[in-house]
Amino acid sequence: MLLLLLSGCDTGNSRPVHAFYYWRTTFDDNDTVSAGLIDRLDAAHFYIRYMDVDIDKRTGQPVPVAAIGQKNRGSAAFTGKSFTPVVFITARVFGSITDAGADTLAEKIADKVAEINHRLAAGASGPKELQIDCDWTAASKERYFRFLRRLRTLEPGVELSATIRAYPYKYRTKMGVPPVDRGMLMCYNMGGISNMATKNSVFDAKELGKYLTVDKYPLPLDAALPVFGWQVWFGNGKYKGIIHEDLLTGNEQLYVREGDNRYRFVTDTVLGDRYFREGDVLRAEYAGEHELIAAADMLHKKLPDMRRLAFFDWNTTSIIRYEHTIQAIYSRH
Amino acid sequence: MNIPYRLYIAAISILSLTVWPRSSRGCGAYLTEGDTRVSLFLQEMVGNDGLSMFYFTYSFLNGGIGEGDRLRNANEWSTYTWGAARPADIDTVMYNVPGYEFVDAYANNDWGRLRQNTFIQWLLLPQNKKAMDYMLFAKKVELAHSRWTQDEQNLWKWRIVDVGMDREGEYFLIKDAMVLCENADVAQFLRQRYAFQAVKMMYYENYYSTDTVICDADGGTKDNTPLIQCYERYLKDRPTIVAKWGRLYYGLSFADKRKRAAELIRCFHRCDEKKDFIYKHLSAGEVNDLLATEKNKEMRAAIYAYKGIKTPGKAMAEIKAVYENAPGSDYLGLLMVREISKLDNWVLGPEVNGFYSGSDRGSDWYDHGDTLARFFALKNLAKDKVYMRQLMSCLEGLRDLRGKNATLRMLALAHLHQVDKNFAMAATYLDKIPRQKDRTIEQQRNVERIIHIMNTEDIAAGTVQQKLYEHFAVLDVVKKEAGYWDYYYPPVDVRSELYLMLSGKFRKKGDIVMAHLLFRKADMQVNDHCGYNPPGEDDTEFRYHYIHHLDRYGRPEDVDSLLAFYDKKGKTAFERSVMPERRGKNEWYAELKGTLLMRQGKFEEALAVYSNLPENYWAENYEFKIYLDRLNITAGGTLLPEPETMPRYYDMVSKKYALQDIVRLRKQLQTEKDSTKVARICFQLGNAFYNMSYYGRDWMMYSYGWSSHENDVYDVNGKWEYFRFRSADPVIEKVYYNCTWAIKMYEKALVNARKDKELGAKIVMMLALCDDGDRYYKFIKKMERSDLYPPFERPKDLTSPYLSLLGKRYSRTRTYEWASVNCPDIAGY
Repeated sequence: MLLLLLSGCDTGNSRPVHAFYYWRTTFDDNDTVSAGLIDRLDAAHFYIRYMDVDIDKRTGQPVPVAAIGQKNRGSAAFTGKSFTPVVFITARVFGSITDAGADTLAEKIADKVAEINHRLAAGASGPKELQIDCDWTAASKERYFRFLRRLRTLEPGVELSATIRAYPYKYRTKMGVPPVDRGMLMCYNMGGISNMATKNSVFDAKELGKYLTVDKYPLPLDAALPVFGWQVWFGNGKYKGIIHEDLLTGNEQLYVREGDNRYRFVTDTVLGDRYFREGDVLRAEYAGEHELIAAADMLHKKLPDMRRLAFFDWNTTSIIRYEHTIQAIYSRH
Repeated sequence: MNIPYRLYIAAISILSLTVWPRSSRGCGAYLTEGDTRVSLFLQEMVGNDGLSMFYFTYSFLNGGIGEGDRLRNANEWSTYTWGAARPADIDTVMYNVPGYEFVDAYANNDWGRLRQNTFIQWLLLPQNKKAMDYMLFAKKVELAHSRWTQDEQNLWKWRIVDVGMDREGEYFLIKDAMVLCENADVAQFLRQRYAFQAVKMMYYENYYSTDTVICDADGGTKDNTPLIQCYERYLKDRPTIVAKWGRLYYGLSFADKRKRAAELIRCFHRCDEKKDFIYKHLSAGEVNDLLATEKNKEMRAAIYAYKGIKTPGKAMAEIKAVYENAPGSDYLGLLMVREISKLDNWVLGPEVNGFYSGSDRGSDWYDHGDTLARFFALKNLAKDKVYMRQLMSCLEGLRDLRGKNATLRMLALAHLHQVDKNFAMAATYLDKIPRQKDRTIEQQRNVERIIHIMNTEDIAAGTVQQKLYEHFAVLDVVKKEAGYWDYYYPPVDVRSELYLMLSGKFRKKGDIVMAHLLFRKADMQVNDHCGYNPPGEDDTEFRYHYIHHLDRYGRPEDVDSLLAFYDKKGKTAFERSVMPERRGKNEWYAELKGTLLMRQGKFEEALAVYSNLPENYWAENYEFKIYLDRLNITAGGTLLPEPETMPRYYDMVSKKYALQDIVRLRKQLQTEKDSTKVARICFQLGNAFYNMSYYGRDWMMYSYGWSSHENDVYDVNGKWEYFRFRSADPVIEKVYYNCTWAIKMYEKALVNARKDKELGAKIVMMLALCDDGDRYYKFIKKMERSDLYPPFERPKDLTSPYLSLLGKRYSRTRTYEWASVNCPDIAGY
C-alpha cells in the first residue's frame, strides 16, 4: 500500500514556490486540517526531515536518529506534492570524524535516504533534490565540504542543496561556501538562546538585516522564515529550558509582563513537570507579523531569483497561528 | 603600514570585546541542574517495589522499570506448567529470546541454546501444543510490532523482518486472537493471554492507523468498542498479570477522560511495567478530578501518591493525604525520600556549593553582589526553609508508620534538622535509630552521623577523624541516579558530596592542605573551574586538579605542608584514606610554590624556588611553552614602536629567566638615582607586570588558565588552560585583571620621565592599555551585579583618558606620530 504519493519535483514558476519544512518524526498530523491548509496556502513543496545524524556517545560514531517513516508511512494530505528530503547533521559530527569517516558517512546517508524513499514509496524516480542541514563551523568546514563533495558524486542525478545560516552567509570567507548546487538561507535562530540579553533568539528582523548587508552569495539561494516560537525560561539568571505555549495557556495570572516580550513569575508554581520559582523569567520568542513581512520583502530584494520561499515548520497549530501572515507574504510576492 | 600600531588598537578593541573574563557567568563550569544537585538522602532506601524510576532527579524519570511483573508472569506460567518449567527459564523465553529466533527455531525444530530450557522442553511436549501455539502467536505479534526497527548492531539499517505479516497480517493476527479467545478448547489461562494480545494489538492498530482502507474493512477505525468488550469479557478483574497490563490499553480506549483516568490510575497502582507509560500520559490534573468520587481509601492514597510523584514542586499535602488514607502505603517511603531530596537541592545545595543548583554563578555570587536574581534566590531560599520546617512538623505527625517507613521518618527528621542546623535536635533522632540490617538504610544512618560530626565536633582532632573514617568505611558506592542516564550523568558516590562538604569545613578552619586532599578525594564536578578530570581521562601528566585548591586558596607554605603530608610516616587511618591515588610530581608543586610567592611580590624567593627546577621545565611541561613567550618579559614587544635595548629573546620559555630579569631590575631600582634611568627601569618592570597580567603575552607567569573556553567544560575536560584565573585573595586578582602592579610601576616611570618625551609617550601608551583593561573589567563586574550581560559593542565612555593625554602632551613625539599614522583614530582622542 503506497501511502505517501509524493512527487519528486515541482513545476517551474517565476514566483517563489510556496514551501514548508516538515520536521516531525511521524506523519500523524491531522489529515483533514492539513489538507485544508495546504490548499488555502497553495503549499506546493515540502522539505521533509528524513533523519538526524548525531554522534553516538557510546561508540563515538555518527548514527541516524529518529528517522521518519518507521511507525507509519505517510499522510494522504501531502499526496501529490513535490518534496525534498532533508538530513540534519549535528555540528559535532564533523568535529568527531576523520576524512575517511566523512566519505563513509556520505555513503551511509545516501543509502539510508534511498531506503526511506523506498519506504515512503516516493515514486520510481525519487526526489530530485537532497538537502543537508548542518550548522558547520570554521573548524569543521573542510570535513563537511568533503562530505558534501562525496555525497554529490554518489547522487549525480540529484540536486544537492545545503542550509546556510545567517552567520556563514555573511562571513563566507571565514566559513566557506558549501560545494552544493544551491543553498537555503535559514533566516531564524540567529541569537544566543541562553543569553538573557538576547532580544529574540528565534527571529529578529533587525538582526537579519545586519547579516544581509553583504554582496550576492556565490550560490543560488532560496530562503526560509520561521513560523514557530516558544518561551525561553530563565531561573537564577540562567537558561533553564524552552517552554511551549500550551503549558502557559490559561495561567497568565502567574506572571507579569516586564518588557516587550519578557515576563516574570510572581509566585512559585508547578506547570506540567516544571517547577517555576518566583522571579523566574520567560522570554517570549515569536516572530511578529510585520517583522516577517518586512523580512520577506528584504529577502525578495536581496534574492530576486529565489526559487522557493519556505516556512519552518509545518504543524497545524503553528500554521493556523501564522496563516494570515503567510498569506500576506505570498500575496505580496 | 606598521604592524605594531594595528596590534595596539586590536589590543584595545578586540581583547576587550571577545575574550574578556565575563566573570561570574563564566567563572563556574556550565553545568546542568542535575550535575550540581546536592543529594545526601539516599533514595535507594525505597523503590525496590518498582518505584525507583520515580526518584527525584533532574532527568525526569530515573529509569529502570521494576521487574516484579515479569516475575509474576513467569510464576503464573510456572504454575500453569505444574512446576515443570522454572520461572527463570520462562523469563528467558519471554524476554530474552527475540521473536525471529523463536519462530525460526520452531520452524526448523532446532532450539539450539534453548534445548536445556525447561520451559521449551515443556512446550515441546505434544500435550502442551496449545501452549506452544500461544507462544508462537505471541512471538509473531512481537515480530509484527518490531519489523521496522533499527538494527541494534547497525543503526544505519532497519531490521526488516518479513514473516508475511504486513498491516493486513496484523489485522489477521487480531482476528486470530479474537477467535482463539472464543475457542472452548483453549484453557482459560491461554484465553486470557490471547485476549491480552488482542487488546494490545487493537490499541496499537487504532493508534497508528492512517490507512482508512484497512481499518474500514476491519470495521473498527478508531472505534475501540471491540477492544473494550474483549477486555471486559476476558480480563477485567481477573487475578492475572495480563489483566493488569491489559488495563492500560483498556483505559486508553475511553474517550471519556474521567473514565480513562480512573482505569489508568488503577493500572498504575497495580502493576509495575506500565507505570512509566502512564506517568508520561496521565497528568496530575486528570487524576485530581477522580478524588471527588473515589471512595476506596487505597485508591485515594494511590491518587494522592500519583499527584505527589508527578510534581517537581512541594508535595507535603500529598504525603499527608496518603498517610491519612493508607498509613501503610508503600508510596509513603518514596514520597518522603523525594521530598527530602528536593529540600537537599533547594536548601542544602546552596550552602554546600555556594550557589543554587542550575546557576552558573560562582561561590562569590552567593555572598556578594546585589542582583535581581540573587534577590529572588534568597527570597525563595527563605521560603524553602519555612517549608522545610512545615514538612518536619508534618513528619512528626506521621506516628503510625511501621517498619521501614518508620525508620525512614526518623532519618528524614534527623536529616532535615541537620539541614536546618539544629544539630541537637537531629541528635535526639539519630540516637533513637539503632544499627540497621537494611544495608542502604544503615548507610544513610552513617551519612547522618558524618554530617553531625563535621558540624559539631573538632574535625582537626585525631579521635574525631578516626570516627569519621569509621563512618565513611561503612559507605559503599551508592548511585544517586541509576539506570538509563548513567552514561550522560555519571552517578555520584554519596561519599563524594560528603568529602566535598568536609573539604569546605577544613578550608574554613584554614587547613588548606586537608581541604585540598578532601577536594581531590571528592573527585566530582563542581560549579567551579577546578580542573575536574572525568573518569577515564588520562592524568599522568600535569593537570590542574593536582593543585587547584592550593592555587586558589593556598599560601606558599601550604605547598610545603602538602609535600610533608605526602611523605609523612605513620599516617592515621583517616589520613591514609584521604591520600590521592596519584600525588603528582614534586616539581609540579615547586612550580606552584614559586608562582604563589611571585603573586605575593616575593620575586627573589620565587626565583630561589625556581632555581631548583630543571632549566627546561617550562619548555617541557603543561602548556607553558605555548602561553609563555621567549621574548624578554620586560619588553613591550610589538605593542611599542621601537626595539628594546635589552636582549630580546630567551633561549627557551622559562619563568626562571623572566624572574631573573625582574629581580635584576628591582635591584637596580633600589640604587639608581638618575630619574631618567629610574623611569626606564620602572617602564621595563611595568612591561613585565603588564605581560604577566590577563592582557599580556606571558599571562601564564601568573595564572594557569585563561578564559577562552569558559562554557565548554564538557569539551575541554580537565584542561585548565582554557579557564579563567580566580583567587580567594582579591588583591591577587587585581594584579592580574586590573593591572595594579603594572599601573603603579608605569605611574612611577611617568613621574621620572619628564626629561624623555619619547619614553613618556611609550609609558602613557602602556598606561592607556592597563587603564583600558582596568576600566572594562570594572564595567563588566558592574554589569553582572545588575544582572546584565556586557553589550557586544564596547561603550565609548570607557575610553582611557591616557589616550587624550597622549595627544595633548606627546603629540610631537615620534611615538605619537607613528601611532597616528598607523591608527588615525588615535588622533581623535
